[in-house]
Amino acid sequence: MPGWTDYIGQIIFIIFMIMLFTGANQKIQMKIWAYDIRNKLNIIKSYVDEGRKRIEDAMRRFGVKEPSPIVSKYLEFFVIEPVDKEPIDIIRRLDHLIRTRENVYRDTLARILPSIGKHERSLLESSLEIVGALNSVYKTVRHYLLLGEKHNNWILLMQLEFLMPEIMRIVDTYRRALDPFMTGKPVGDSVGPLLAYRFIEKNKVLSKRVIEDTMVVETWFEGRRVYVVKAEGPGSNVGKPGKVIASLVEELNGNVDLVITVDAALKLEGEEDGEIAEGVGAAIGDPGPEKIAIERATSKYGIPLRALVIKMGLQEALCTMKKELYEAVDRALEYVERLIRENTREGATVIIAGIGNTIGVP
Amino acid sequence: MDGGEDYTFIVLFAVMIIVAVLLQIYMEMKKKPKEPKTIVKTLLECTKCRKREETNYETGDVIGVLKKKCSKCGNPMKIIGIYSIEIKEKR
Repeated sequence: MPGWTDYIGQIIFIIFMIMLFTGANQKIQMKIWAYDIRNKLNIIKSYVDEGRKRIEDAMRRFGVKEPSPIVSKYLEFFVIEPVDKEPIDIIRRLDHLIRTRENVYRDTLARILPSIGKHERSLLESSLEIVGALNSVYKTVRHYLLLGEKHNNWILLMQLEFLMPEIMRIVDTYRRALDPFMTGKPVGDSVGPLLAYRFIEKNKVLSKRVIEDTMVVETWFEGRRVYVVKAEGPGSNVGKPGKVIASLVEELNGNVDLVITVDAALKLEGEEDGEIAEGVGAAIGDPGPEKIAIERATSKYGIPLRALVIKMGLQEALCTMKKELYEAVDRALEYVERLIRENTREGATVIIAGIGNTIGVP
Repeated sequence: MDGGEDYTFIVLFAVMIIVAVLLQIYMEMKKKPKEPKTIVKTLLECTKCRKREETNYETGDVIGVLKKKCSKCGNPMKIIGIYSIEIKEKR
């Protein structure tokens, strides 16, 4: 005679078969995915709110009575990419849009916060960009979640569910990046400007000037004239190294023997933080205008263009500089000096560009 | 021991596994990304005797700024580095 467990077994089997043929199992799976995505979405929302609150508090400290509408405006701010079906002069158009965007940010903040310095304003500007990026991720994930639920599109939800760990990793990086950008600590991306600063400190300075938020320091190194180009610090600033190098090359009538660009580069999985690699080309991660300016200037006069990168992950690049990266700057500096000695003779003219955000580095 | 008791054990075991898996999924969903603990340090170097000193980061520390006097020769110490160190948790 069959026992109660036999009946339960039969019922479970029948339920299982019904679910299999009606697709109810997929619906349950979809609900589990949607539940998981919603939980993670709430975490992202808490990061946006936390960042927003920090910025609003900072603005209140600087005397802004009602910072909320200002922050809201920046969180929703967008840039429309230039038309790429017609590529003629696309770099000029892209550069124009980038500059317009920068000017809108700077001018508005300068108008709202006239009492604070350029340095503090740049920190607020970058912090707003970070929270804006977090907000944009939040809204995109929410869009696909709601769309998937609305149309019972389990493939969309499945894709989103499998992408969530990567999205959360990026979101967590942005959240952690807010601290150095609010307080002005050097980040991993500052390795290039830090190397440039160290080179200036080590050698005799002949002249110094600032063009478009970018410093050009003329130094003397072992019988060679070395121009060091870096963004003007210690605020959050990347400068315009491409344009400045191009104008410097023109100013010297192309009489430059070597151009070395030093930047942070995203490592591949398995590579160590702080690994140094040498190559050829312009080591700069801008959308295009700065990089092309360096390439055009050096190729016009046939100047060798060398690149040195210090490898790191995305998290390391945007968060407070790790000790391993700080130590890598010393090794990279020795590398640059060796490159100059090996590739140029005494009396030569060299340009070194420390590319990256100079936050925390003067 | 007859076949019915064996079957009971299997059903209970299966239910326990399902509950454990669901519990694990639930906890996984609620979990926030684990943040590594770090401490930010300021590295100072004496402008004369080159003695180095590592202190905890304080708001306003910027590379290149003179911060305090050297304990060895009394000359000013310059901030030459600001970096984070990961604190490894003891198991």
